Amino acid sequence: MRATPASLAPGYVLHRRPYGETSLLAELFTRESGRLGVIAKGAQGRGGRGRGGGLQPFQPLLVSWRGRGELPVLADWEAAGPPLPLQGDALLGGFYLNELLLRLCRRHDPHPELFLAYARALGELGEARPLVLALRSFEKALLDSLGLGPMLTEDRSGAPIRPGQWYRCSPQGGPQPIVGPGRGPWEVPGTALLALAGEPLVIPPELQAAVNGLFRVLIADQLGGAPLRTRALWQALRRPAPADLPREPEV
Amino acid sequence: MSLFAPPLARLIEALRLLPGVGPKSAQRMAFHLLEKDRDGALVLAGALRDALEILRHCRDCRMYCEGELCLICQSSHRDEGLLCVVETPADVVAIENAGFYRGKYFILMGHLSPLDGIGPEELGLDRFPERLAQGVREVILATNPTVEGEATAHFLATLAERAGVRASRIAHGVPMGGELTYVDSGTLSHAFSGRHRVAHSGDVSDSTTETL
Repeated sequence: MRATPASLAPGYVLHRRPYGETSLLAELFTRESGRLGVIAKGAQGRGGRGRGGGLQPFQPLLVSWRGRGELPVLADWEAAGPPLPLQGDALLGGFYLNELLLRLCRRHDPHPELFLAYARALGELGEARPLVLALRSFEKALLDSLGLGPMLTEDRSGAPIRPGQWYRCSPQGGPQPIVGPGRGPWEVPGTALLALAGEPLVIPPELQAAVNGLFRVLIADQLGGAPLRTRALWQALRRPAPADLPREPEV
Repeated sequence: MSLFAPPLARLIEALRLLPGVGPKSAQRMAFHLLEKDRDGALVLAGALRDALEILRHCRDCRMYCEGELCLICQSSHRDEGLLCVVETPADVVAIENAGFYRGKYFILMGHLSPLDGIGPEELGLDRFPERLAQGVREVILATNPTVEGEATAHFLATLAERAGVRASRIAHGVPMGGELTYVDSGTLSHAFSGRHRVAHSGDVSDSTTETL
């Protein structure tokens, strides 16, 4: 699929890298056109002019591009609001969201509901609360909009999910009732699935590990073995002494 | 078929390596060196070879230098306790030209960019704690105010905290001589959150209404 030209479309920069000597190749996530790559001519460096400087991740933008090819030209952009104040771990969380979108969403595949979830997640990351809920909510929205999320209210035979039952959530088919307790991240209690069905997402502390584990394997399953680089950085930051610990195994 | 003899074509192609040099400029440079400045061309060739053969990275700060340590790291007039972390050698030059800083440097040669696969290992940050252990009191994080620069600063601040070394971040705000109207909202909000109290205007006892 190809891009259609747009004028002042809401979007975010997911990533950008130098292109030639003065231009940037930017990967955008827009509400109407999904993910798309654009060339921003003359946007490299000189952040002080408020042009290249404005073309930063986590900055709500209104973007206009022209051309229908695989790489349209970014004609203009302006800030649609103040940049989200992501700092420290929240900033790494933001990079993680961007990496998920870059790795799992195809270009020119619109996901308006995922765009809203992304904007909401960035807002929550900026609010200095525990990051885990914002990240899990976004992962849930991402898996749902890609059609990869687990069924949360019924098992594979159509029976309602029961809180006391354990389920195996393999990527194919719905949750399958099993004799608990679960062994490994694919197997979670019914209470965890029911908690995930709630909107807005609330995860009781005792279910946190099960939910984290399930999302991790669901996403890893889609990534085809290549680890997430933002997670590696996150873990490097938590390793007590970078030199003398073995690398953590990828789950 | 090329218009130029192979050595000339190779020279033109080689000159195009330089930033901002396209085929036309490369051609002009090549003809200039060959026709008008053959001595200069030899000097350039020699300087290039020497630079590539002799220069290496300073053990402590990673600036280009001749021996094991660069002139700044060798200097005894520098404050050993202050370590300024920057992204590129050009940043060191900018700070040195401003002439106010008397500490030492650590040059990252880039920034963390997880989405490009540039992590702490690629930047050689495993050596950073060793550098901190050489009597550093304060680390001044002068990475760029981009999202990658901020992530890098956060990472280094964590390493500094673990090593029990104070870390500070350079301020971001309105440029000197600038006007608020033209400052983008992100910079403005940084300028406000990083505001500081105006110092008392000094001892007024020795000035009278007639002083001015």
